[in-house]
Amino acid sequence: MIGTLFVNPIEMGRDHIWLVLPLCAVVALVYKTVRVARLKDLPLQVLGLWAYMLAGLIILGVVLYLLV
Amino acid sequence: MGKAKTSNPLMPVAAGLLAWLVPGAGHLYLRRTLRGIIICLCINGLFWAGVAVGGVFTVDPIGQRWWFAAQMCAGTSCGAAWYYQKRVHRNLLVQADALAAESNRRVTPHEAYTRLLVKNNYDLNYPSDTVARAYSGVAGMLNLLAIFDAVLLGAIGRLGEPPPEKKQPPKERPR
Repeated sequence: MIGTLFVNPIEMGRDHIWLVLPLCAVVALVYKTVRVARLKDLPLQVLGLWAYMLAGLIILGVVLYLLV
Repeated sequence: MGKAKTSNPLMPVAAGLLAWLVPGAGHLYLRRTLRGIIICLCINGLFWAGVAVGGVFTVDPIGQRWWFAAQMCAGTSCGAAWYYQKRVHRNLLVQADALAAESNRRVTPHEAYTRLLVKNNYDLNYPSDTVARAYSGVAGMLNLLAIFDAVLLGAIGRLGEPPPEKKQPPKERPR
C-alpha cells in the first residue's frame, strides 16, 4: 500500500463525497490565514467560514436536486 | 512588529517568487512565520493528498491542461510530481512502441499505451480522478492567493505581524 502511494490511484466508492469536508476546511484555513488581522481570531474565523461554505454547498445541492 | 520598510523594490518580486516556489515561503520571508508555516502545511498537504488519491497521472499536462495550469501554481511540489509523471510516461511510450512492433502493427502504439496503463494500474478513473485533481488544483489556486498576498505585503513593505490594535478610551458623553 505505502509502496504504491503517490504512484497508483486509490479506488473509491460512493462515499467520496465526504472528502469535500477536509477540502473546505483547508480552503477556509488558508483563506483566513491570509485575511485575518490577528492570528488569535483564526480558529473561530476558520470554523465560521467552514460552516458557511458547507451550508452553502448543502443549499446548492438541495436546490439543484429539486430543479433538475 | 509591523515595521514599514519601503526601501527595497525587489521585496515584492522576491516574496512572490518564494511564495510560488515553496508555498508559505513568501510569508516566512516577510517575517510572518506562523502564517507561512500554516500555508506551507495546508497547501503541500492538500496537493500531495490529491496525488496520493490519483497516483502519478494526477499531474497530466497533455490530457488535463487546465488542471495542470492550476496545479503548477503549487510550485516545486507540482514540479516534482510532473517530473515523475514524465519519467513514467516516457517509459510507457517506449514499452508501447515495442509492444506495437512485436504485434506487427496489429496493435497501434496508442492502444498499447492504454493497455499498459491499465496493466500497471496507472489508469485514473472516476471518482478518483475528480477528487485527485480537485485537491491538487485547489491547492495550486490557494497558493495563488498566498502569492498575491505576499506580493502585496512586499509592495507596501510590511514586515512581520500587524501591531496590536490600540484600545481607544471611551468618549465622554456631553452632558
